[in-house]
Amino acid sequence: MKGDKKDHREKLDFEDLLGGVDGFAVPEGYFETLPQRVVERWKQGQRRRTMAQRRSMRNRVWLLMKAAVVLLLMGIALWWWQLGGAHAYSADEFHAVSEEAVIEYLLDEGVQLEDLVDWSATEGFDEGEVKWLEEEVELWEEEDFMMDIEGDLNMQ
Amino acid sequence: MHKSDAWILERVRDPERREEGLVALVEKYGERLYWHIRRMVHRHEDADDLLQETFLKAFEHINRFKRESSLYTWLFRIATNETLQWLERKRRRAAVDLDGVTEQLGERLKADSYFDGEEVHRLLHAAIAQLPPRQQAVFVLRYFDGLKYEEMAEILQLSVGALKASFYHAKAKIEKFVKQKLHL
Repeated sequence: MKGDKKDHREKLDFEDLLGGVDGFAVPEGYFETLPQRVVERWKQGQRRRTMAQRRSMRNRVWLLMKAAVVLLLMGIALWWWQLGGAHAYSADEFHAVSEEAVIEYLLDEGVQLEDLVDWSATEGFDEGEVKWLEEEVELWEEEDFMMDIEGDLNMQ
Repeated sequence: MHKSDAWILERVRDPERREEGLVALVEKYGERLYWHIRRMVHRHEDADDLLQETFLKAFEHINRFKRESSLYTWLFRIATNETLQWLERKRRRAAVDLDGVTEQLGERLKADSYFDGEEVHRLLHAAIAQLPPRQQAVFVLRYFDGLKYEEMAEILQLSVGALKASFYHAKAKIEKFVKQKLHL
């Protein structure tokens, strides 16, 4: 028991009964092994901290990846929406396109006007439109026929 | 031969030689801090755990240590705070009256393989355990650890006058308790 600096006022009334000991003991070799055990515990703490930091870093990367995917999907959705908007002409804009231009476009795309007449007759075009289409077809056929004759004459 | 505080601090603050510094720190102060903690918590296992926690905490915050106080009193402050917090937690959990504390401690010390004292020693520790935690710390620091009141003032952040008063109150309570139990 320490406390040898005590003056008489700090000694307990029953000091002599204590015999200068406090009764506590420690396992053999406890103080010799103490530094190594403290170091071992410190290293364990370091390892746990490193692992926790790595886990936290992994979680952060995972969160960033998820955010990137969400942003990418939002970007794609926006792109589609804008693309759709670019091709959505108003009714006024359609009226400004001439019928000849439409026919020419259809022919360029390989659509046969005869087919279009058959199709439009069944798909609800009004009679005027169907008639106009039929006349156009006839006109084109005549032109083709005349061109064929001219070609034959030239050959001869 | 223990290393000087300057030698220990230099190594502890050097990332390459921290381990060497930690070993020297424990070698120098381990035993004194152990007895200080043990006299307040009594069980060897609890004292050992708190002592290791004290060193790890000190090691972790060593950069906060300013040379305004000695390394010794700084370590005692950490050890005392850790122990007082542990005692408070234990008191809240146990929620037993003073007689219960005395009885429990008496039984525990009888069964403790690392306690070889006699009845008077058991009564002394039971009497200390009855004191409020801070008063326990004051008594242990002065009576067992033999610290000066000025050093205790640094550790417990109290005035010397308050510490003296607290010590004499604690001493009187302990004497009354033990003499009553021993029919002196």
